[in-house]
Amino acid sequence: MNLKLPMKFRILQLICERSIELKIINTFQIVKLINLEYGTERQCCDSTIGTHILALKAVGLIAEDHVYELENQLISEYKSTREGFNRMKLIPNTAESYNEWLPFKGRVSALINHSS
Amino acid sequence: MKDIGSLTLERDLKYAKKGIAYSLISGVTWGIDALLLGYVMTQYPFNDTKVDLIVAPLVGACIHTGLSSFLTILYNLFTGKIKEFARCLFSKMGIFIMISAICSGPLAMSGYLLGINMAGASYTAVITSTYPAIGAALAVIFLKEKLNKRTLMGILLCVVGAIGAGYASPTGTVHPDFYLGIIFAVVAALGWGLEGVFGAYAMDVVDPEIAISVRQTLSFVMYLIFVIPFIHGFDMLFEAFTAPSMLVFALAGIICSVSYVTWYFGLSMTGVGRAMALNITYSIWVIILDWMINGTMASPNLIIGCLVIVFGSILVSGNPKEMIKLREYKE
Repeated sequence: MNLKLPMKFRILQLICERSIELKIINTFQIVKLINLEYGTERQCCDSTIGTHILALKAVGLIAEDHVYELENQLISEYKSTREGFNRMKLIPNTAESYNEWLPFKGRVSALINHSS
Repeated sequence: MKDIGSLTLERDLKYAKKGIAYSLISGVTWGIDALLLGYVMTQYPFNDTKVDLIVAPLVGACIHTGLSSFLTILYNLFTGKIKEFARCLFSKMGIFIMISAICSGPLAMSGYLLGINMAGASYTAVITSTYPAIGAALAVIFLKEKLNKRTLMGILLCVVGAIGAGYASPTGTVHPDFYLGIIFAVVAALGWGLEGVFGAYAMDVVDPEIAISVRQTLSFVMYLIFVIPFIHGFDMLFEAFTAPSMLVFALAGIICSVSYVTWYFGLSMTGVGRAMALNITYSIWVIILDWMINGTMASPNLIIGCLVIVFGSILVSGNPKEMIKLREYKE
């Protein structure tokens, strides 16, 4: 049976997928996508997702690209750092989202090897 | 009206300060837990003089870990995070947490107790008190943690203070396996230092509440398989569950779970070096609580040690702005 990734890891994967396509993902989009996958679980709420994002940023796996205010709420846009990409090798091939990651895998490996 | 920059800073500072608070709470609760465990260890069946000296503490550590594992699982059931347990355990992150569990549980705890047995409590306490410095050094090397001179000085002061507070003059007893005991004490300090690094690495992508739950469960299983059978501790283990002291043990389990959850939050939010330095403040709380509850007067070295720890902690947590970016990776 394939397991989902831990929610925090999945948030990082989403940010990495966008970053490798040179796209930016913002807080709203992350919350929306995570809700689609983990929405039935009680842990899946805005505050937990927000804390996970801040934790990923604090340890340098993602970087805040741009911040703006919308309807009295801070909206941040994020991109992955090299170390964030590096952690993608820890996605087990039994993970539900592993196949989704396959098209990006080669590009990320090339990027990491190129910049090291 | 505040601009975007200050709002972002405010949000990040709130997160960093929360991390400091968690680390301090882990220290306070660890102090309470140590007092409760100290009491339980004087009660039946742990006060049995017929068994080897090392059996009671190891059986106690096993029950303590088991209770904490059970309670953190219950807590995760309550918070709706329990599905993350299997996701974490059966992933590559689970391996890091397993290493962390081996380092801290059977390796460090057994090393600590064997150290006390072979080299005496004073030398072992001094050596094992260095674990925050070891953890900070390993975190700088392997996790690229950013620590400035002031923070490093603070960590060092916390270690020196803990050594001072916990130091008792050697008794003069001749320990035939003294040097082996010293090696075991070093293993214990290394084990605790490594636990923080492996745990923090796993927690980069795993919720700290899940990481600690997996860690405690694995640690408990390892005690049951690799430690208890070798010390013939099952009799004492079963006796402990029917003893009246189990109620106090259960309370210690609750306090210990709070301590571990906040400790892992601290590691993840403030970094290994800072969290460990703030956690070691537990020696102050033990002394204060011991004085309040039992009326035990502190000796001069305890008071001086505590003051040094307080000063060190202030240096460590003095500027939360430094905790907004914990690590410096090469881009």
